[in-house]
Amino acid sequence: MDLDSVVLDAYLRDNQEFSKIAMGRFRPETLTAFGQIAWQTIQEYEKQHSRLPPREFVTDETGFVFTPMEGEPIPTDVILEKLQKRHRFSILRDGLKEASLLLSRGEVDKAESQALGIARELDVDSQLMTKYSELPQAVDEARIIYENTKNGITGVPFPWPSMTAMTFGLWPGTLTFFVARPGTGKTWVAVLVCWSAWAQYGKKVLIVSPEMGLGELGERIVARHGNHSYKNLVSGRIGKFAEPRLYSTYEKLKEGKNFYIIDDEDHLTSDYIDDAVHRLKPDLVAIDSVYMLRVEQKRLSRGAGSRGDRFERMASTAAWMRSSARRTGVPWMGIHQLSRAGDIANNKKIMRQLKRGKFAGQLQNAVAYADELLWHCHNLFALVQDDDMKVDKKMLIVPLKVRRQANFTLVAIRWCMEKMEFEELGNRVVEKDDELAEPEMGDIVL
Amino acid sequence: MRIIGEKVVLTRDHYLHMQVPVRFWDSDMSKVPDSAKGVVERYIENLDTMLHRGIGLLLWGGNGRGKTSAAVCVAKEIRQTGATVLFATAEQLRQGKIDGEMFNADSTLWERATDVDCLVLDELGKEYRGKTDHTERLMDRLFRIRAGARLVTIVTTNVVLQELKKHYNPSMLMLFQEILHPVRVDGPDMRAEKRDEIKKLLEG
Repeated sequence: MDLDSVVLDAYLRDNQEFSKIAMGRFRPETLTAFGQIAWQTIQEYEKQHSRLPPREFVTDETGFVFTPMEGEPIPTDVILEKLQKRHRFSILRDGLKEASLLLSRGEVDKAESQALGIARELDVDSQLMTKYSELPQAVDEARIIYENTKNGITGVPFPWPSMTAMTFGLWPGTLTFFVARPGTGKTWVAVLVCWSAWAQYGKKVLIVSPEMGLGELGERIVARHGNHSYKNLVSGRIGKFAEPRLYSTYEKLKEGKNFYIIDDEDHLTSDYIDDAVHRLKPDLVAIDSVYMLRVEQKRLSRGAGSRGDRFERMASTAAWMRSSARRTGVPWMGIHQLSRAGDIANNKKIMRQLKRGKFAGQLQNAVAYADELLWHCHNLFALVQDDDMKVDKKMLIVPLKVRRQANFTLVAIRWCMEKMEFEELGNRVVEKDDELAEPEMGDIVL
Repeated sequence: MRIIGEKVVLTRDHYLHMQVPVRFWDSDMSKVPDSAKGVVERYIENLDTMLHRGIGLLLWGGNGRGKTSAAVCVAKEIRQTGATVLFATAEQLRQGKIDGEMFNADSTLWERATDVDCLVLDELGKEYRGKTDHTERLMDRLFRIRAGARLVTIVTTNVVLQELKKHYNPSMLMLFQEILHPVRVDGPDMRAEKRDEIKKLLEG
């Protein structure tokens, strides 16, 4: 990669965006000599003409040749990182060479002074790379958020209105996690949120599953889209009267665009997923069975049989997801298994805590200590379903951490695979010991 | 979990989970004797209030008069609101506590009986008592835990109220007055009617 060309190209493409992101972090002296001359020419032209020069002008004036760019432009943050790395390499290479020469001449004091100089230069360089914004930028952002919220513009909505009201939707650049005990229907949550974003709100979605195959995810999407009984579908017993409708769903979905799936292929790495997000530019990324992924030294491998304990694995995976969400400016959603730790070993204990009005405390602690999820994600929800709820075909979504905390409440939803019903049932919890609280329609009594 | 205004359609799984004996699955208002019908109907009309305050019923009367049918009829209505229900005889619960019998993978039968929104405690007074006051203390504890948490208990017994005083301590009976509304269930012997029906079927 011709880094100078990439930098100048990014600046010429959108100088305001470049300056905004690179504010205080870009130094022209980190470019090569040719690059520096080209940069200076661009600046002078811009000053004189109040606009950017064409690339041909820069080439004609300075002899700097732009390398043709292929594919999507590289994000400015990435360019700056690479530029800094190259610059640090140069500082070390030239500085140590000089220090080594001085040492070979027996000039120890000078060599030491040279080495200290290198350290100082590296230190200054690191400080310059610190990304910061100024108050006016924060105020601008706050105003945009307020106006968007006032005008009803939210992040990607959930299929359940109370969840959207609680979070204002899945916001760009945020990480949301759903956790549940095994067998609760975690994959279904990923499918439902993605399907709803795609089918009901016209969003572009990417669902990644290290556990499910393409066909298994396809079955769920087909069942949800056509309201076909999932149980009958997977057992091949949809019935001869309902079958034409099923085939009609297949045909309709074959025309579907902007719903992307990465399934349990062996090449599922963090770079692979990052690249896919970069290329597809989805409005929502959902990663199912996060516990099956493993990020190690920025590389991700399959979880089964991988080294390291669950704590380490989840901490690095969640950290990667958070940074990717921020970097890509897309909402990311992860589905994870609720730890067996502490007081949340079974549904009975969870429900007991919930009934005592301690729904956040115990679960939060267990999740936080077990997996560090609370440290990394913006929103965290637990899916709770005890045996009674299973028979009633209901599920409870328990908020453990909510980024904007507009209203913090449990949300009860229908969870019926036979009729494919997943609508919200209620959201206000009435405490049993509150004599004054008159239960109203839609209230939840635990 | 109850959601006000939302009605659960009961299935076979519900009855199995409530542990209601199969012969009572079809219990409804038509099986409730006239003597108890009025109270049972009004109880069902005010179900949300009863559940919120933890007020149950004490159905008492002779054998085969329809006490359990009436109790199951109410329990079914309660279950349809989404509230949880367990049906157990007093003896089953006593023995279950001693044996540590499991209700499901997470709870013992005893834990379920103390946690559940509505407990139908059938045949109180018929449980084995032995020479110690263990059973009495067990039942006392059960009622106190449930009353404390405002959970509904529906008790059936063929022991007349005066007799109950002999078996249980006065403070427990005082508690009964607070959390149970007594209903005398009287009428024709339903078991005798069924016996006659079978006899007619087989002997002509």
